[in-house]
Amino acid sequence: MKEKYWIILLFSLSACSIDEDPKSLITSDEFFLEDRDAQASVDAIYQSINSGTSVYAEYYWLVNAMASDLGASDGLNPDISEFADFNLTAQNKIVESIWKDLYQGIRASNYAIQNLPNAPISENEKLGLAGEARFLRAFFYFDLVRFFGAIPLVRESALDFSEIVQIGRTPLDTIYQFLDREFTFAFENLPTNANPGRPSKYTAAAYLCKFLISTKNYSRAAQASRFIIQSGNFTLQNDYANLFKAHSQNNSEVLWSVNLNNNRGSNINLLTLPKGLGGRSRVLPRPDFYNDFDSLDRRRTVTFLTKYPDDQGNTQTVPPHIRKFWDQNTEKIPGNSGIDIPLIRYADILLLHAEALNELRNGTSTEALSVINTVRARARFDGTTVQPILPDLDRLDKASFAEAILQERKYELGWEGHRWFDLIRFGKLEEKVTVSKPGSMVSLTHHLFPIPASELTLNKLMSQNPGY
Amino acid sequence: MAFLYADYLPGQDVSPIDSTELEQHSSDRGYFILSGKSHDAAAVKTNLNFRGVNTIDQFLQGTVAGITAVENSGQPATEITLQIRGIHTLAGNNQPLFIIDGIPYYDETDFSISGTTFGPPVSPFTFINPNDIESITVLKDAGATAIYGARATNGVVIVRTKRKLSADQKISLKIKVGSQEPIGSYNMANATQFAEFLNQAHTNAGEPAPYSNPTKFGVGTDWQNIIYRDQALRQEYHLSIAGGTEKISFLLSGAYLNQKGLIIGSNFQRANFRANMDAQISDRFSLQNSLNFGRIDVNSVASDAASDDSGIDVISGSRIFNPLLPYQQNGAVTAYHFIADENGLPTPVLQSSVAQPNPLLLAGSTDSKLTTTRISNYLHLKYDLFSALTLHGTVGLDGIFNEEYAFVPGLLFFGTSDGLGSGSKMEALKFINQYYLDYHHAFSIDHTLNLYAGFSTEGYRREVLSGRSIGFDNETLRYYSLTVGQQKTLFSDISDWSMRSFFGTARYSYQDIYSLSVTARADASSTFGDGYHLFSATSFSYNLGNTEVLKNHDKISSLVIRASYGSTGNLAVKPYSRFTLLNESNSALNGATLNGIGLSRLGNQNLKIERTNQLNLGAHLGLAKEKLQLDLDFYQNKTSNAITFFPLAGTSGFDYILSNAASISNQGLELSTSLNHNLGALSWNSQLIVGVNKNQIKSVENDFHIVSGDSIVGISGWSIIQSGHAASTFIGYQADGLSVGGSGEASFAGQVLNSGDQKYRDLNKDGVINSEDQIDLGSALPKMTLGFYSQWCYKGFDLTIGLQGAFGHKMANVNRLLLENPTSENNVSVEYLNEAGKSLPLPRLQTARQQYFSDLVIENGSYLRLKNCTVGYELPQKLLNRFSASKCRVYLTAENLLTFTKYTGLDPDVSHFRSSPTQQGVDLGSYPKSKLIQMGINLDF
Repeated sequence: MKEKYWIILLFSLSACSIDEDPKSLITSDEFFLEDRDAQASVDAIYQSINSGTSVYAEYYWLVNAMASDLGASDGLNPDISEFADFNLTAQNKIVESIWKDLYQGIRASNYAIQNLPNAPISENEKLGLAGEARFLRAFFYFDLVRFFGAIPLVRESALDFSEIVQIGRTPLDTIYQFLDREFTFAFENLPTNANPGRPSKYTAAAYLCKFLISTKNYSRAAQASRFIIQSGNFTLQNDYANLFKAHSQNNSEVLWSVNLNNNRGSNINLLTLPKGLGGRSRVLPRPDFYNDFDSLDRRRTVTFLTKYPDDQGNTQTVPPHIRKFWDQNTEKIPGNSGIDIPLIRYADILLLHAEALNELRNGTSTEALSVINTVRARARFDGTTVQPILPDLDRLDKASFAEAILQERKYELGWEGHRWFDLIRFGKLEEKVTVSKPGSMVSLTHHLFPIPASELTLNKLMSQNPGY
Repeated sequence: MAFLYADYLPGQDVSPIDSTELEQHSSDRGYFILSGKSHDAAAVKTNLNFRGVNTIDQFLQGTVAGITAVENSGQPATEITLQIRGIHTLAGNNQPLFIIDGIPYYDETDFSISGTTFGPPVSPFTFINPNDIESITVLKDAGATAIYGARATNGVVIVRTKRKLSADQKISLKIKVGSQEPIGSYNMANATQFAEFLNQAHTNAGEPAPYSNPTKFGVGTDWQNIIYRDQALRQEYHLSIAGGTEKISFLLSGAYLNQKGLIIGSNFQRANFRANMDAQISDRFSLQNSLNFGRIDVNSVASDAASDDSGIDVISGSRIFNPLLPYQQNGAVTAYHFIADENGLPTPVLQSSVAQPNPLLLAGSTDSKLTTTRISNYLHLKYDLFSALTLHGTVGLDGIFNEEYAFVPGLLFFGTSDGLGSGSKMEALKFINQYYLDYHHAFSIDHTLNLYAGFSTEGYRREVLSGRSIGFDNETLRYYSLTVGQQKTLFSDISDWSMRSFFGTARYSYQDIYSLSVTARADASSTFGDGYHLFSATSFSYNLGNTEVLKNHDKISSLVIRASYGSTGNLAVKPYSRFTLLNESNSALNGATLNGIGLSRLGNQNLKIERTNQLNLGAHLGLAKEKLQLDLDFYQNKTSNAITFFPLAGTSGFDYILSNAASISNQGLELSTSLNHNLGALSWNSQLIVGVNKNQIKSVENDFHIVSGDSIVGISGWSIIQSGHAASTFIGYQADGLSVGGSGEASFAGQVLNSGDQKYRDLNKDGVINSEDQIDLGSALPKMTLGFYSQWCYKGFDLTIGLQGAFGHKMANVNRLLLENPTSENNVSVEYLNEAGKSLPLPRLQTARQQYFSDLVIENGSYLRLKNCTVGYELPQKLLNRFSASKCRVYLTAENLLTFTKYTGLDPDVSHFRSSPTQQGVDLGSYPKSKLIQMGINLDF
């Protein structure tokens, strides 16, 4: 009966496990077991900022320019022109991207934050990483609340479908208390000399300052900005043009920026440059934005392009286009811009300081004049000589000084993702937009973006913003 | 031949028929034979007609009622999308389970590719030589399929290879040689027409006309034609030798196939070897072994899905490339579709957002090759314990070894000029081990009992290693030296899967009139990790043909009524689908790269195997000694927990999750008829099959409307999953003529319509066109499929035709978005020119026109195709005796000769997104199918 052995041999082959063990995939059960995982989970958060397709590289500058008096679009992309024409709808794809991508950043932050306590690292390391992750989360929430108002405050990431819960709007007060606490925590736990590109104690102070100003908490805001100014760690670049060159990232003026490189570049110049240079002229500055500048203002020549040499060497003249973020040496054909986009730089801090002081002192003060004039003085340098333009500001009443600060912010920070926020904070959205875009339907509705229609379908507890 | 009852059970042994004998009657000459022996289940033996198929799955198109088969693309050996009785899952696999020689054949595309090369994936069945196939039987109802439990919902296809079970020797040689030409081409503007059009368009836009003398360009370059080979040959050789002794018999077969693609740069070669052996070791103990070796070498071009959303592929490129430009001028090749200057030479200016490379350059200088070897060995042992009880054991081993390389020279990348090279290796091993006991007992003449029970263990491991390099300082070594590239990325992946199963069936039959069977299978799959799931079915048949009344009826030779009800499963998703995963999450920091690891996918530990309840009612009628046979089946299948990508609120930070969130029903009718008739020397047999299916999504959790649809030509969100609609339903806007310009017309927000712009209907009358104005534009799933086959034989001559068609569905001819989008360099179709010339207001030229998915691209996809036509002659025996040949047949056969359709694209039988259940019916940049005309000779000794 030799056959029997054959059969026994066969049966012996049938042992096999049906447990599933993903060998080349990292599952949530297997993470945060090593010390390095804590850092990796925090580093992952940066994808929501420092990549060419992040909200901050693609849309942040765009919506601030479009939904204000700075720019308009050629109308070919309705998602863009809805912002520029103040007929924004809940179906807008950019609004949906902003909503989803910011919450993705928050999810990545939450994941790091909720796991840090159990990570096999020292308490000090935990505090440092928690400071960084909590800063990033607060940074996303600060933008969310400015874009959308009282949004759901999610403070923990689900790790399985069964943990997904629907959550409605969190009251504004609660969100503000949260942001205050988080930025303060970050301020207390972030290092003064963080690695370039990462938030430092000063970055936290800068956001604390901006948050406090937005919530009219001027005295604490001024404390925060004064802390940064008095540290002496930051200076304005000698030449405004240096701020927007490929090699100039994280310089002495930058506190926080969208870090990009040639592998992870944005398409900003594809949208803004003229067709003759390979761009699309998709979004253009309003003529009055260009015309308002003093013609010798360094910031005008850096921000705008009006002529360029074509292939035959002839000079082509075009209506003003934005060229601020174009370093032609590194980006010959527009479409992949590796230039960092500053989110908070020292000039911004100086102007915020002046803004807080104006509120506290009811008009100009020596300190406030000194900081705003520092910003103006830098713009006189045209790369070779100092031009006799932009005289120092002198004593002004509160309203005029506020107007002067707002104007300076437009010149200094134009197209960098501030204008819409600024106009709302100064209460001047309708006024300024109507001047630049007469007949525009701008109203109180446009102080917030609509909650995306898709979100309202998927989250029954969510409600639409007024007017949409 | 009839399929026998036990034929389709797992681990089947081979019924004692001499296959090579059978061959003469069935597959070789294409007779369709349905025997009245058993019609218990909705199971159909396929007609292995003369089709010049490359892969066995092609046999299923138009031969079995209830199968929808789409030949995704014309690139040789491309996989086919198969659905039996409709779509049952929305996120996973709808392909049927193939059982080859008793062993589940893993047919996921992943197992034949590692994904480096261009073009649509090759079929996982390409390793098997269709000439080696003895029979293909398709099981459709739960009564027949439930024994395959968790993999049965999509139907089961039982494939058996040829064997030799007698002692006489037999040598068979088959040679087939032929040539191909494309099924058609688009009618694009020639150079003169295009230049005239541009002149007019610029004039309309208030700009100077660019070309002073359009006629001097003549017809210009015909880019569609230039990419084709002058001669695209196909040649196929097959030699088989069968023989043996009383106790041991064997069948050896070897084959070689070489098919040049229509398009320069594409090519398919295959070598096969099969050794099937049967041995009677002792009175009680026998074994069968089946060994198959297949090796394929494929060179492919960028077409079909390779074009992702940009439209950069050889096919689309050949249509829209500027006809004013020469292929080369003074040795300088025109690299991109630049705007042409007054002299028809490229200016270095592009207007489109995508730099379309020269299609011939793309086809000719891109190097994309795939080599895969697959070796399968199935061993089947049988031991008779008692006369009525047999023990069976099967061991199957299947190994796949794949290598792919691709190189795209820097010349083809506008702006960066960085070449791209990549290489990958995939190795997959599968094993299966199954045992069962088979008991057969007739208690008396009246009562028969069959019992069958067993268990099996199976699993696979798939490993991939690949690398990719961008920016070659030196391009001479191409992919052979990926180290030369500047940016390198690596990828590795291992996945394991295993399943344990217990299965059994009991069948009781009374007087061969009534029979009742109960089948059950419990499967535990590692993919779901939640233990065993039980699937079962009961079926009943009433064979009136064997009753006293009809037994000797002069007209009715058989009549069977059958019914079955049961549940089946669908594993649907890939291993690890339920896990929450983390992945590399990289970004830029301070000019360098920051590598992080973050959550990349939310898991669902409650993910379940899909379960479908199936009811089947059918009847078989045979008339005039089975000369005319009719089979009619009605079915109703309800999948209660179909897996779908379910959208999550943005606040979760995730977009989608895989969840059992939908329920789907498929119900339909199937009719098969066959007629065999002899009029003296003339014999005629034919077969008509018709399948009607209604697919409907019954419910979606929370009543959500799930919008999907991957980006095509920059447009996404064109497909919807919604209760009350069929799967693969298109959604989009309704076109409403052209604008005459000026305000007051509803438009997408912020747009001012200019004269000649496309208008869309503002359904909710809010003055704005947005997603609320989208409507259901129809489903891509055919309501009816049809196959017709007919053969006439007169003396030695035979003539066969095979028709196949699908009806009542929509196709999205997305090509039109490319062909009707004029820019200064993109060519347009003649139809568009004529339309544009006729209609006022005249079209404006736009640089980057925003395009929308609307009913303009939706067309009726119904078609009827003369799939095959064959004329043959069998040489007289007297002549053959001189060469000691036993049989010799010569024939001429043609594929895809004629298509009757209103569809305006080249071919309604394509699928850009291949088998994706929610994205059927998209035609974009598909590699054209060929009209293939071949001559062949079959010689037996």
